[in-house]
Amino acid sequence: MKNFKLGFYPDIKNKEMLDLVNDGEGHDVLLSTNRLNIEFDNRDQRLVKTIKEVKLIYELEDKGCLILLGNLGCDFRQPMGGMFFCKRVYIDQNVDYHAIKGVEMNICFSNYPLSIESTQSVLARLVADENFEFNLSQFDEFMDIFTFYKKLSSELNNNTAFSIRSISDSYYYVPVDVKDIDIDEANQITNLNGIVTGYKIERYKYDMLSSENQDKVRELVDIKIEVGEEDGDADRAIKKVKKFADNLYLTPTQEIDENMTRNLVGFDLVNIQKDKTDVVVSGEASLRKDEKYNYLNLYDMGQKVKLESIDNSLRLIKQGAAGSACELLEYIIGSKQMPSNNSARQDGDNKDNYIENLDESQKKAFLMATDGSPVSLIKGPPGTGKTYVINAIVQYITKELKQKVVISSQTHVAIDNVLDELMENYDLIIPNRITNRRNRYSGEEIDSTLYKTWAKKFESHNQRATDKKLAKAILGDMSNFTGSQLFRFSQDTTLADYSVLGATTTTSAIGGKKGLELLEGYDWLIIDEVSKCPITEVLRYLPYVDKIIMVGDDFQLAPLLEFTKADVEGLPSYDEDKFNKLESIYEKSVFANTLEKAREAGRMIELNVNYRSVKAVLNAYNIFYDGRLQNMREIVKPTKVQFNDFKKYEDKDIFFVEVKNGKEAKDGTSRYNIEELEATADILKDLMKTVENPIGVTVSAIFPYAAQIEKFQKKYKELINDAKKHFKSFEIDTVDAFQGKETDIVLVNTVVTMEKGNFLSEFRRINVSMSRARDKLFIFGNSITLSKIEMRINGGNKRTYFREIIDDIRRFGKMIEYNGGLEYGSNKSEIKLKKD
Amino acid sequence: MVQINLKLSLRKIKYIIKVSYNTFEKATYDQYLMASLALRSKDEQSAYKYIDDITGSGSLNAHFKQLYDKAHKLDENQLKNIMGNSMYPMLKIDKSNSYDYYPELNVSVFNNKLYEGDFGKYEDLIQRLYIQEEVIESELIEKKNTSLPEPYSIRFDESKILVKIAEEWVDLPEEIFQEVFENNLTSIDKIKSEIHNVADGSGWFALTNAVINNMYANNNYFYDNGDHCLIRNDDVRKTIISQLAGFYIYKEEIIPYAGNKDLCEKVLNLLLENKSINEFKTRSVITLLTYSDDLLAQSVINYILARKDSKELALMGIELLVRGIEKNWENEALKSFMIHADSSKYSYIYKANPRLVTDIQMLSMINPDFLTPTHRKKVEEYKNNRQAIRDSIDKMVGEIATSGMRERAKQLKSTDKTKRFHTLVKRYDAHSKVDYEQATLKELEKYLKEVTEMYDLMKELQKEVNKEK
Repeated sequence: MKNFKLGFYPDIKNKEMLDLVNDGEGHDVLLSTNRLNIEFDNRDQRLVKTIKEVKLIYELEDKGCLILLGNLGCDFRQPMGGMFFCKRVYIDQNVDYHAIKGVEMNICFSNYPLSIESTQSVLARLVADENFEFNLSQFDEFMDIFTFYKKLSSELNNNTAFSIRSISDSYYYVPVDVKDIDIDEANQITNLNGIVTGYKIERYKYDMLSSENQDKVRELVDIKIEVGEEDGDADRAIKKVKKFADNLYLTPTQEIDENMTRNLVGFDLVNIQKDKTDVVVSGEASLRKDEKYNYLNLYDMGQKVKLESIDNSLRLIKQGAAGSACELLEYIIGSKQMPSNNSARQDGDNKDNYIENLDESQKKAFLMATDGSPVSLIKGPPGTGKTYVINAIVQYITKELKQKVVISSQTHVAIDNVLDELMENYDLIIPNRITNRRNRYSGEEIDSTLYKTWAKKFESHNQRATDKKLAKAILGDMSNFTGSQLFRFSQDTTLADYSVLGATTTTSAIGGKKGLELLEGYDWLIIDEVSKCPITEVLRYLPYVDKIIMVGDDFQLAPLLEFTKADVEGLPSYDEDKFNKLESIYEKSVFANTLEKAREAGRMIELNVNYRSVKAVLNAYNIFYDGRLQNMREIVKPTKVQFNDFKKYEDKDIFFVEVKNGKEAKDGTSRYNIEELEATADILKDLMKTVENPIGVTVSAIFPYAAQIEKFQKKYKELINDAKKHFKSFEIDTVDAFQGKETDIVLVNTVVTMEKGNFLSEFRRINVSMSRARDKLFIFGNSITLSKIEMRINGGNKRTYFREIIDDIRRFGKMIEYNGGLEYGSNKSEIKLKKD
Repeated sequence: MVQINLKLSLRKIKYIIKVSYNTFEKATYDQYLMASLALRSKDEQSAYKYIDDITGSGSLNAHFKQLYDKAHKLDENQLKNIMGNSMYPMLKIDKSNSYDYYPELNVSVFNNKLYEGDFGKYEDLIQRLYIQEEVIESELIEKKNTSLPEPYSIRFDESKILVKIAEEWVDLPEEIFQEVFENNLTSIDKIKSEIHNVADGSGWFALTNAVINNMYANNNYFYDNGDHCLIRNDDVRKTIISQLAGFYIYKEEIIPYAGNKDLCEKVLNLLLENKSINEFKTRSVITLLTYSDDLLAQSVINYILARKDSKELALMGIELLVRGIEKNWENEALKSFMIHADSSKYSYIYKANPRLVTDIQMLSMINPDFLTPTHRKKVEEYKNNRQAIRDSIDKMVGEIATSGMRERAKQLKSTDKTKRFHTLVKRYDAHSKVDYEQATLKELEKYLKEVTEMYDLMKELQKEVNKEK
């Protein structure tokens, strides 16, 4: 027991709290400090006289901790000896004593303190103990910036809600890319630009669809919202709804708070239409019959819960009370070196089953991630099978280690891709999917999803049975099944039965105490596409797990702050310096930051076998990876899109369309190039004429600027609608919306004809655009301008990557000259093939 | 017959009727599969092996085994039936039915309907619950047993007491009534109103200490035919108290002020007497005044305006003044009238007390016939003065306008003089926005000073222009 005198500043409040510890008894205490601040003895500089800002943390009987903050040191007044000089005393109910990082000691306050010498030796021991200091120098600044972000967020979004005029009955909506269906044109649904997005279908037509297509069908409701009657009100409302499309909720009241998360229903926006002065939003929502929904609430609530939850995690970490998260954080953003276990195989580790189908780099990644070290990074360039590796890791963790995993990502699509993989096989892992939206893996849907996945493949699962006679008899019985097309899984299952939890890094469904209960017992955190996550979102689940696996690619898109300077400039809390700092912290991906540290510590593996793109296409973006990606596509899938005109497009796979006389023009901050649009349209028309079996081919057009899409949609409405019907799918969008997707043919617009100040110098956008293509890639642009654009990869030398890509295309692909752009809308367009 | 609302501590027991019975429901895919396995497999071991084969160590393994264990307990016939019709036998435990039993009255309420005796003990209970299936067992679970005071309606009918339960009247024996009706009436001595011995009809409540305390919470009450009447903002609340079978009951009647002259005057007089009219809402006082005699209204207005200003009351007072109540206005009231009246009413206020109006501009707005000789003379002088000043201003402004100096001065070198001249010209020339009509004498004098300055400047500048020529 260490005896100290207790002293306190005269203006200290809550003196009665001090009485709790100043009872002459010894108490077990944790000692810690945020930053070592030592005062040495004047007479002998080797001896510590006082440690400033020390926290003495007492466990409270009910909940939380009593914390004394002050200086611990020597007092040379009578009676001489150890002294704790308390400056502040407070109770924190939200921390768990046992999760706090600190040095254990039994301390008693009395008038007979420890001698000066003994006190000095206690102090010296404290300073040396690695559990004493929890120091992340960036953290205070980080908290400051996060508080600023929170303020801007709440000022920006206060009470944005639209009253609901009416909610339609639900109907079946089939997206335009579902083809084997008899469509009634009258039931087509178009977006604001008149582009067909899908069709309303009747129940009997739904029943006739294949189960694969049934999965694509969504049950939508149309919601008419009140937007005001002034000119422009509707357009403003549409803009707002679109902007916050990821954070739409149906709510009974206009104002909502964290305690109402149960009454919120997420609204998954599918389409927006204008009906005279009304705005109609269509989307998916799990409406409860007994609840009345009066408002379409934008953003506010989701953002609030998300921020609260992140804030909570940050506070725990700052207090050093987040258990292993503190260490994880010190490895990820602090200065501690990442520990690394031996990844070599051990006898009897039972890993064979999980790695037998992985390639070498995937195997290495698997073995590293499962070697028991706390932090692992897997860099997954495009098409290298990230999801595949994640699946193997999750299978191993849940089945062999019998531990639990949180799978997270910024987007629902990325999580569902991983979950799809987990649910693929006979020995599927059923996840607990947490979301406010309708989702095939959520509690309400899982029984039906199991029927659609596992039961549909029963015949093949049944073949695994060793008792063939039994299997045959059962198969015979199953053909007579006329019961409900469901499983009875959800009602017989409790939270504890799940070993995988899927939730976005931004979900509002995990908030408050309920959220913490959900995460109880989870050991691992896997974040997919982590390169798109700002640090705040990565930190969110950190306090609840012991190990983190980050999967991503710092050469693909980085995080984007959800508001721009222009959006927040006028707000009361706006501060230019802070905003710039926020932007830089937020948009710097954790992955990119941590990568170097991980590489040094041997905690980073790059997947290097590309299964997606044919060789010529891969070569175009492999340039960013210094040619490290091996081409394996032709081996796993040798067939390609075929054309009826062999000479034109079939013999080569990558094309540069030289748009003669194309001119870049500005539209606000966005840009467009009419001539390039015409070239894109003409190539698209030509593809529609020449692609064989188009119903099996997916096509996309990727644009770097919103103005370019807008103009394309307006000008070529008919063509786009025709292409959507003609091909298996035809999508048009920005680069940002395409990350994570892939199609057989990709048309990439570059728009720019002026060298300076454009988006394209950001190599990540080019990398993502080009790497979406599986079979054929068309790049549109001005080769002279593009060849001059300099790009820099992570502080490396400037290089003119486009020049290298175009040179490559000259050698291995085909240059197409487009010269029809001078007279808009004329029929004079011609396609000259230079290298025929 | 008297109907009374009161609180009774009747004992009430809430029973849940738990019924277990066998039924069938559509089998789910996994139930059916495991039923098939239970039917076709040799033993548990081979069944488990089959499950291991088709689910590996995935999530369905434990789930299937659990379902298999259930199916395994069914006999062969049951399993065959499942295979035939996809209907799965199940034990349904239904706890959705409940009822309240009142032991003192020996009645029950189930689904809002009254039943004699304990409903749960009915022999045909299961039929009454509309359960068709063969019941394995049923059980009554006591969920709540309370005797807390709750509101009831009772009826005194000749010699009987009845209590309303589930919309029906049930006998409430007097001895039970005495037991369950808790009456701690300690404030009965406070009652000074008449306690009647007759009571009839509905709308009666049991008298409580709170009701009595509320009656005598302040002095603003009076008795009407012996009944207590409490003065409130919009009405009077009459409380009629009666004694019945040894306990006290009351009933309230609300008498609105609107249209009731006698009541309004009575209330006003009482409030004046209690000196509490000030605490009354102005809106309510105005209602009372509207239906009262003018002279009484005048004394109320005098009383209130002497203590606080009120625009509404002042306007009401002015209305009385215009109607001919000219005498006996207090000075404070008239001062308040002056503040809130428009100028057309000044003459009436002046007539009520000429000494109150001293402001010359106000006096100038009053009908000269009402003015005292001294005031009349003052006003005439004032008006003449104004006219003289206006004439001088007009003359000078006219001369400046016709002089063309406004333009000509621009040719001169800019000096302090020319600058000042232009400033003044802008302010006072023909298009000036100065409102001479509304200006007070003082303001007119200021204008005159500046116009004179402008006139002098014009003369000086004119000389300079001439010199340059």
